Amino acid sequence: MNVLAPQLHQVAPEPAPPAVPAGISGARLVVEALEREGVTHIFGYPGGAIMPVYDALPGSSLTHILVRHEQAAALAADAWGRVTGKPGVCLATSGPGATNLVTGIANAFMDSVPMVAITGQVPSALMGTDAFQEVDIFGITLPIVKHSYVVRSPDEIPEVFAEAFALAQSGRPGPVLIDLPKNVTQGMASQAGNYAVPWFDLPEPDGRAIERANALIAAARNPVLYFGGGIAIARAERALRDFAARSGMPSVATLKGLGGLPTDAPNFLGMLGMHGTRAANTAVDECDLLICVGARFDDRATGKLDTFAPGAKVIHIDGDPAEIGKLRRPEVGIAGDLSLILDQLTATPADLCAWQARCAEHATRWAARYDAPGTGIYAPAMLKQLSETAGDELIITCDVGQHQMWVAQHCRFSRPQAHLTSAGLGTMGYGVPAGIGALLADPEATVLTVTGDGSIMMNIHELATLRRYRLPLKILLLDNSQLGLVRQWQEHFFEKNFSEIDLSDNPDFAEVARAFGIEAFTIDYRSEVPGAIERLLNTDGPILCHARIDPRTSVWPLVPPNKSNMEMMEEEL
Amino acid sequence: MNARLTIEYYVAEGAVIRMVGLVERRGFRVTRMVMAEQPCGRRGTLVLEVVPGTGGRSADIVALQLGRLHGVTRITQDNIAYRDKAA
Repeated sequence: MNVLAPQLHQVAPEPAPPAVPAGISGARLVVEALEREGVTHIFGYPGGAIMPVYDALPGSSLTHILVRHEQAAALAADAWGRVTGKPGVCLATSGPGATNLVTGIANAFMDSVPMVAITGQVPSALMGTDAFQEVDIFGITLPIVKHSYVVRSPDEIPEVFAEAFALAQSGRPGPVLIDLPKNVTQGMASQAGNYAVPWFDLPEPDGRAIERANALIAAARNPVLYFGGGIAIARAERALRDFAARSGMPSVATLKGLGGLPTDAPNFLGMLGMHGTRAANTAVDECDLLICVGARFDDRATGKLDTFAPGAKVIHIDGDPAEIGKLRRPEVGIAGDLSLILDQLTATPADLCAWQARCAEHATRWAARYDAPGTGIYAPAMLKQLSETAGDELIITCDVGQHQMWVAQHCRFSRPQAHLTSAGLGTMGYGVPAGIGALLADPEATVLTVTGDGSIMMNIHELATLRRYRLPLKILLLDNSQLGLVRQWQEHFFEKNFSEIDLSDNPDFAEVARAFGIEAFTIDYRSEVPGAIERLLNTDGPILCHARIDPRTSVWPLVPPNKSNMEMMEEEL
Repeated sequence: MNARLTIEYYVAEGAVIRMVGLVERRGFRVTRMVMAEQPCGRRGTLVLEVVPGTGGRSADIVALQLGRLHGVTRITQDNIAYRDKAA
């Protein structure tokens, strides 16, 4: 019999929160609760059931960003959360407003992003009667939230909001939903009362497990450090970099881990997995010890799981105990604060010179090439050049598709918050709303959205939001007139049965952008790339560069589905 | 291996469906369920007997995943022998 204590430990509230004042409306309490949490921006869209909250917004310290579709509100809040580490807040009405948030909430859940999503609801007396714009958003989102509430009384609002914000950002972060029936926001608080503000700490690392991990590290001959998005969540970059430098072991990153170590860090081999580098996948295949930090053995990283790191002992370190042993049973599992744990892994392997040299030789031999024939724009080369020109202060938000993988493969990152990508859910349409959220979260940053002709159409209306708030987002649209990644899979895994991938009837994207009031231009040739990069980076306001690329360009390397990472397909030159 | 999960939790709207839903989504079939609230109405106990589906899912892991839920205070997990319908 196993008895498990709760993994997240509630600690004493400090300082004591204010009492609920009587004679104040629920909507006012919502606004005050958001102000108390330090919220500065809310991404939302008004409608019937949430109107009392909108009525209470004017005069508050909150800046509301009116998007053009609720999905964009949730995705912008997601990006805000990734950049700041604090919950992004989105707001929508009941029914379709709430359901339009669902993709963004799921996106935050899959990537462990702190978010508070607030929805209006029909009055309590009408709930369950199929009322106009009634939907059970609490039920719909149960599998994709960290927690959720239906508030039943205005008196509950301060405590629910305090708890929601604490839950969203503590432990393993995630989205929390608060559903507000209209009578609750219109009603008046009736009683004063104090409440406890919870906070949830990570478990204390197991000292004996750390000792065992140090022993494994000391005995390793070919170790590899494999790190993921947990580094950014825990803000553990300093500890990771210290450990990597101290141990000298070769390292690989997941898609979300990119930036945990700078791209040019010694012994860093790049991304592993389906579109990872051959050097990274080979190192994992050959290693005798795999130290997994803040990653979860996702199928995109491991390929066929039972062939992944076949000769390795595994040390798995994660903030979430439920991730340890979920897919690969480790020799040593350590749950807790990543920085605290990494700082205690002080053992160093024996001489790694030969192993480092072998990995470095692989990295050189299999380095990406940028000498594609022809005069057309070669997207990987353009992204590399753009990233190097912009420097380390650039934040890139990605859409989903081939361009997302090219960004991961060919751009430089010196911090994980500089690479905002929909990794777990793979949400086409993420890029532009995420750019909006990132710009508002870090107004000093240069923010670039890299998108494709399929993805941008999913939230193209957000160009209006850029225009309204004069947000200087730089957009690089790589247009191959098709759904490129689907085409690539149909070509290789569906016997070239090309089905519903043709987008050759796309609109003129530069004209569309200009219609929204956004500066835009189109390029077709490699010779135009340097000028385009200069214009993108030096224009003050929002700008879109529409780059038409060869539709036959694919993402390489590629591990076929359900194959070992060592069965990578390469481009035939 | 079949397992019995005894979950103690704070009573709240959606708490039971959240727990049962998690177990099913994580690849287990619930074969028996008993729920009781304490007289004060603030705490409850849910006992689930579960059978893993395909993919070799571990009851240890699903217990940890249940432990992540806000409001779950304690989980006891026993491995149990298979009991057929007639038993």
